[in-house]
Amino acid sequence: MADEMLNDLAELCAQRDSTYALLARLYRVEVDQPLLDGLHATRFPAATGSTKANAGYRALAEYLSNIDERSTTELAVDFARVFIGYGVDSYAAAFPFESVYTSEKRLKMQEARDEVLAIYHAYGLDKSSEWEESEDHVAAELEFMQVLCARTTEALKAGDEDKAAQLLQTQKNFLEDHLASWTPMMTVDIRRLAKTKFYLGLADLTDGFLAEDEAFLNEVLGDEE
Amino acid sequence: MANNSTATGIDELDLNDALDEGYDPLADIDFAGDEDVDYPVGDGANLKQAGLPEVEPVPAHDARPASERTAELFSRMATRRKTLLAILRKCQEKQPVREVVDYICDLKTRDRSVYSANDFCSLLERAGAIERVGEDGASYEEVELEPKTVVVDGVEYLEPQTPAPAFWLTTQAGLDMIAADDPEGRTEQLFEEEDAYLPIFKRILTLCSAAGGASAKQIAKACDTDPLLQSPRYYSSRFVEKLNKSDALTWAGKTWELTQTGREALVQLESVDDPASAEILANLEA
Repeated sequence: MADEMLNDLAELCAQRDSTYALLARLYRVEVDQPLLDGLHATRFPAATGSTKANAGYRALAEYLSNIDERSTTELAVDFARVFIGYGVDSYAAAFPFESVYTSEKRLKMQEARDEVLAIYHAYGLDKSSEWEESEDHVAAELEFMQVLCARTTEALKAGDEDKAAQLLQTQKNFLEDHLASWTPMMTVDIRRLAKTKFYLGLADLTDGFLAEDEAFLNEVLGDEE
Repeated sequence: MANNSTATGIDELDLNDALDEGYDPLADIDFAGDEDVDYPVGDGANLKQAGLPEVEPVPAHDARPASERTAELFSRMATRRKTLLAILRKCQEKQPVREVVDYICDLKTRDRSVYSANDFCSLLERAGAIERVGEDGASYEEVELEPKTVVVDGVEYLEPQTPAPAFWLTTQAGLDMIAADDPEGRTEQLFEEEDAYLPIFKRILTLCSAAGGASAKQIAKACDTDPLLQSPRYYSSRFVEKLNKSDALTWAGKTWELTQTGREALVQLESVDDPASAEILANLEA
């Protein structure tokens, strides 16, 4: 591949890395003040090529245009409402775990968790000791994609096309077999439960970005084949 | 139903036979006449007919006067009175909301509370003791802002806007609550009610008049073995807490310090005879 193309691809993977990092952070825990201030100072893409992603970014930007000192509390309440819920009903929240959406009884720690854990281990990764949730939490899966994007960027900058191709293939497989296979169901629940534009926007952004990323990987790897 | 004897001799029910016989669990229930029953639906009129109490709709907001709501807030949050009053005093001149939040966070380091700074402000606002105002002092107008579209290097972006700054301002109800606060009166009342323990109060106030105040341990050492506190058995913490509630003492993070009210209370107790207090004073002046 020509050097210029490699550089472009590396730049693109760096951007994907950033977006996966943002999504992982927003799903991991509530938004705190430093993050809210940082997001308020951020410019969001207006035209990504994905209607859903555009709607997601717009909803985030609209929310961030109207924040005040009460916003972190409002967002924490919405986070709890959407991802934690209350009561014993397994539909009371958009529980952000692949096992919940892919197991018959909507339970955590099912086959999906074992599968993704094996994949993380294959790439020398494991969850942090400070992270108390299971490995198939959406934040962990998004962060895995982020790590692979970062490694791909490094490989491309080092001119190692084979390694980059292999990493891209892993990302495609992980998206198809895991992340993108269940998050559309989770985002339906998020839209049902969320009251703030922030989390409604997050649902749209997740759907739009993952669909675009899947299309991108199919295109890049299709060219490689 | 056939009974099958087992090796243990216990008869077991053979449920399969029961099912085969076409058992109908509803067989004994008489549904005669039920087809004509007209179950009520709709607007609650039927609830009235049934003699059930009508449900009063919850009012969208509390329509009581601000003075009443504020008094109720202070009554229900009596343990947080100092913090609430400090906020009202702070906001007698309009203050940027972020500064008020920082001020309350600082207060909380000396008076821990599960309520966040924003919680305190929300509670006071709901009670009508403070209000949100704009730069011009007029009631703050919440306007829904749209993000701005900017172009950087030929690429369009959405830039979040910043709403107009908001300020907190104490209302008349809040000012009235400040005016009604009478720490000197509370201290006087405390000394009247607990006149048997005036030497203890004097000793504690004297100890806390030292530069840097006095720790709970120092106060306990000076007071807990006093004959006055043996029967009924009291500890110095009881008296410290009463002085704190009267605003004669304030917690400074690691020690109790005298407030202006406490200094005036100490003057009030000048004539109370307590050799221990005199000794403490002599040591402080040495």
